[in-house]
Amino acid sequence: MVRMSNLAREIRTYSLSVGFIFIVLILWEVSTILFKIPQYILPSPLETITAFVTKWPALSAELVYTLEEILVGFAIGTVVAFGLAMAIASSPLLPKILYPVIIAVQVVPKIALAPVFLVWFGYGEVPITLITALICFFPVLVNSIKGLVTIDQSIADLMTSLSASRTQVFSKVQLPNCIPYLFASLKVAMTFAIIGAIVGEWIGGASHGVGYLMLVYSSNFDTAPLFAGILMITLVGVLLFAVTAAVEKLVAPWAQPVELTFST
Amino acid sequence: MTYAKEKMQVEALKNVELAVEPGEFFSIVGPSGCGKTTVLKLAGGLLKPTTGKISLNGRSVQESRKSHEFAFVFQTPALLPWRNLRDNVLLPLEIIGEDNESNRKGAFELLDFMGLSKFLTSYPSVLSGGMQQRVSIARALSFSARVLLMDEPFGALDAMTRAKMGYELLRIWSQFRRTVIFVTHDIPEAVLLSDRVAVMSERPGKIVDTRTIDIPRPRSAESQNDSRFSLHVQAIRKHFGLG
Repeated sequence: MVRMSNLAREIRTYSLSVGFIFIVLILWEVSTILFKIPQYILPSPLETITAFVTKWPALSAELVYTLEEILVGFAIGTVVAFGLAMAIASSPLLPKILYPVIIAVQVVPKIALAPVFLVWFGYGEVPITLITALICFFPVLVNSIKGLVTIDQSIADLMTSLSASRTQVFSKVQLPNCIPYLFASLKVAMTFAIIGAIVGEWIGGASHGVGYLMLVYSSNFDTAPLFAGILMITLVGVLLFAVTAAVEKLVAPWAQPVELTFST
Repeated sequence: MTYAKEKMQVEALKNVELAVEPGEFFSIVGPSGCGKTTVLKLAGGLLKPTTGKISLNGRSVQESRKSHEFAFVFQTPALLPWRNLRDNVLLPLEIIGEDNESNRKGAFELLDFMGLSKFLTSYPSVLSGGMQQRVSIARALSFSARVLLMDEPFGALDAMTRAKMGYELLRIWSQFRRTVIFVTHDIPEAVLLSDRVAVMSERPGKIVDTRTIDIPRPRSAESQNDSRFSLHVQAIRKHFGLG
């Protein structure tokens, strides 16, 4: 019965949120009509949906490019970051030396390094993917190090009392301890990857991708399709986030939420 | 005995001399911060004394720790959240390389005796505090360590669970005899459980009294009605100005 009422309460909370969104959309719709806001300034929700449907062939064709940048960049950034985190955490001294440095580097907005990548790698998909990798890199690095070294003192004492080897401590305690931190950072990295790919397309002179297409719509004052592009990239973001969360549930059903060290 | 903490030396303990007999249930009582935990960590080879000597059957406790003679139970259950109950209990056997059929069988019999068999596949986060601490005790008994070192194991539990756990520990101990060094600030708990109780004073920690508890075993809730029970409790309370 307790379970039922919990479920009922959750459904009620969610339906209130959904209801709120609907009210906002209706107000938006009504005000564009009421105040005669031109479509090139602010398309209404219905116009956006219509554009989403009519422009679907173009949007979905360009999404393939953007999705590739997102996923490849995410993979490179997170794999390199986690590998480096393991290397750093395998020494007792390195995390102490490097962690403050890495935290300090966090202050640099990584996206601001994008123009440098254009200098190094020219234009096209390569620098865009690498920009995406770069902004995925830091949250995963920082939080993986944290997860690998933040061991409960009693658990550390327990391992010492059993005279566990360093390899045993690493594989049986540090690595599993890191999983919730890793996934928390992967969820952030996934949303960052989308920013990286879109902004990368904007500054990288891309000739493909959703970001590129949005620039074309923007320069033509095609605002409704532009909003459709925003809608599409948002849906992709929600989907990729959900997939990451689902993988976490599968890999680590025991995981409790952890506090994330943030990164931009 | 002193021990080095970071670079500063803290005189945590002074002239602490203890001899614990094989198979004995030995408690150390004292106020918070008197160095009880330090004594226990020194005894189990987790800390090295800067001066003084600690040995188990003539061998240094460091060596004894390396041959897995010590099992710890901490104030927090210190269970690995990513392992279910069964795998938490089997952890020591895995680490010391004795994870074989017969040892596993022993561990499962122990879990059965402790009434934990129903929860083998549960993760620690779904178990109550008292249950988690029982798993932690089972883990400490799952391998062949001769000395069980318990650091306020019931300190984080509510009073009712705490009392139950005391009786439960007596029941387990009478079945799986180990030498126990039990640290607590709960005087009646120490008297109820122990063969001997050492009384510690505050920093630098010193042993001011060691009392032999002559209440007959097996002990139970009834033992608290024994006249000797309140005599011992009173005598120990006096040392802390509570008498």
